[in-house]
Amino acid sequence: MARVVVEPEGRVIEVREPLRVSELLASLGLNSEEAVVLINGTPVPEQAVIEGEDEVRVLRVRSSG
Amino acid sequence: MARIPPCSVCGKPAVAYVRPLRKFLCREHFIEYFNRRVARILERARVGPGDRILVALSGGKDSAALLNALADLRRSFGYELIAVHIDLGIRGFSEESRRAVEAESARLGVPLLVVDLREAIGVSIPELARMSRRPTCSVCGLVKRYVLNAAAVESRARYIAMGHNGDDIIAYAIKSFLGQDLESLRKLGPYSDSMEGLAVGRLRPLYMITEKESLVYALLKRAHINRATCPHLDPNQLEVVIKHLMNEFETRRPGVKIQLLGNLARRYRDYPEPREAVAACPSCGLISSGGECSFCRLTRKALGEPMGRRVRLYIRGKLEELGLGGASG
Repeated sequence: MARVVVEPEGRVIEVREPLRVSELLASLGLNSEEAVVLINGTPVPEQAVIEGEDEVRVLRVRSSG
Repeated sequence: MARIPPCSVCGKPAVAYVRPLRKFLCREHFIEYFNRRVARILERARVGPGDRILVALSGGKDSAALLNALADLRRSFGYELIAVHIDLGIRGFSEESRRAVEAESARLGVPLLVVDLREAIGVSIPELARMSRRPTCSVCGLVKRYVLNAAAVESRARYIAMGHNGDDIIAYAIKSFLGQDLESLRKLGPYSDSMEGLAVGRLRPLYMITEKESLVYALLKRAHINRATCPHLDPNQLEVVIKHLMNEFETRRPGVKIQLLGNLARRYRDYPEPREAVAACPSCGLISSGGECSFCRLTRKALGEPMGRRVRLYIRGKLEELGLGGASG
C-alpha cells in the first residue's frame, strides 16, 4: 500500500500499488486539470505509476481568489 | 520507486505531459517551454531594452510563476522589473500573502513596492466593502485595478504584467459572452496599449499557460507562495464554475482550451470598442469614463472624500524610498 496525502485538507489515504496517477485522481473524483500530483516532492505526469515506497501528495489547482 | 515516463527531449524523468507539444517534459525542458510561451507574448507586445515592467504580485502561484519567468527572461529582453503588492488587510490571509511576496521578490532580486491599504487610505478591503455596502470581491477588484494603474503611472512603467493564466482568460471571456458584454471581450488580449498619463497597458504573459502548468512551474522553481484561498472567495462564483466546466470539456475534447485562447488572441480586436469616452478623473487625474473615476466615487461615498490623489502621493513616497521615483504632477 502507498500513502497519499490529499491537500488542502491534509487527508491521508492508503492506495494499493502499483497505481497510475490518473487512476488515483479518478478515484478521488478529481479532474486531472485540477490537481498536481507530487511523488517524493516532484510533480509527475498523470501517466506516472505509484509504487510502494513513494511519498505521494495531491495538490489542488485553484485560484487564491 | 515510481515509474515515471521519460522526457521526450532528453530522457530524464518527466514532470508533466504538455498537450500542445504532445510531449513529456523534464524539469529543465518544462521550464524552457514555459519561458518560451511567456517570451512569445513579450515579443508580440514589443517589450524591449529600457522598458520598465511593473509585476503585480498577489502571493499566489500565478504571480509567483510570472515573476520567476520574467526574472529568467530579463537579461535577454533587457527590461527592468519592479514588483508591486497590495496588502488588502484581509485578516488570516493577507499576512501570509505579503510574507510570500517579500520572500520571493528578495530571492529574485526584484525591488518590491508594497501598497498597504490601511496606510494608504486608512481602511482594509473588508472595512471598505462594509462602509460602501458593496460586495467584498467587487470592491477588491475595483481597488486593485486602481492601485495597480496608479503604481504603474507613478513608476513610469510601460506595462503592468498580470498573472492571469489561460484558464482565467477563458473564464472572463465566457462570462463576458454570457452577459453579451462584447466590449469586455476586446480587453482580453495578451496585452493592451497605454493611454498617456491616464492608464498603463496590461501585459498577460501567462495567456497561453494553463492554471495547472502555472502551479507546476511555481513548484519547480520552489517559489514562495500562499496556497490558501481568500476567505471571501465564493466557490459558486461564475468564473470558478466556468473554469470547472471548461476542465470537464477539456477532458472530453483535449486541446479545446488552448484552441479557444489562440483564437481569442487573434480575434479580440474584432470586438467593439468601448462606447464611453475616456477622460481624466477631476479628483485624481487618472483614467475615468466621464466624471470622477470609480475609485474616487467609491471612497468619497464610503470615507467621505475621494482617495485617488492620496493613493498616488502614497505610492510616490514609497517609490522614492525605494530609489525608484518616477512621474511628477
